Amino acid sequence: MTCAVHTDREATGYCRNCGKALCPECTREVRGALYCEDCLANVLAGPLGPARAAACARKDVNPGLAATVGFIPGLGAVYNGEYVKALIQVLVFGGLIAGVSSDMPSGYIAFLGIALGCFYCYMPIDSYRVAKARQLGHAEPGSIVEAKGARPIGAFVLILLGVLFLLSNFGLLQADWFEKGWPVGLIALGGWIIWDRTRRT
Amino acid sequence: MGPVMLITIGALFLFREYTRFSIGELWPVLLIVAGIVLVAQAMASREGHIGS
Repeated sequence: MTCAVHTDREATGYCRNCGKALCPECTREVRGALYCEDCLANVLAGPLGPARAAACARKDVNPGLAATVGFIPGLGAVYNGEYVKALIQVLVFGGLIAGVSSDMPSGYIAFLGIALGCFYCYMPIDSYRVAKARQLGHAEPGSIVEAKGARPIGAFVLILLGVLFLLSNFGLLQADWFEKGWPVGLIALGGWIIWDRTRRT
Repeated sequence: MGPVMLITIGALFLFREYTRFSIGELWPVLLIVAGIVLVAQAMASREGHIGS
């Protein structure tokens, strides 16, 4: 049988992964097993291959525990070693509580109340997902390596909340911005989703 | 993200020291800065990064 790449040379081995015939120049040997360059490149450079995931997996991570401590704001992220995320979760949680008990116009307080409920559910779920990914050796959700196409929704929410609280702190928050303006928010969101989908290949 | 937050916290305390603003008024800046950094991370090029 001749090499798959150099068709004029005899094959001296076969790739363990894909079975391609390999001449001595194409053979890549790892711990006594023969592989072709393509398979090695795919496993190392592609989205986390199963072999790489198994090497990165951790037995000491308990996703159930992560979810449980995740009910205490920030602790789930601390369990997973995401300290800045923990800080941000504490800030957001504290800010939402303060906002709900402040003298903002009632429309905003209603919105913040719902946001508080959603956020409190989000924290243990996120801790669980990240811990699960760490346990299996997969890319952590939200890490830089993860999905290319993922939109940074959390980032926009953070900026929105920050601007909201800042305006409120300086007394610049008007009641009717929210009460009259919330449908504009829905329209803008729908428009952005359409634009974003037509933008992607 | 970590260093950026440290710088922001430091800047916040400096502001408290030299201007009339307090942490109680300016703390949302931390959220805004975190959001900006996350957006920058999402928009950054992934060329050459393993796993992309």
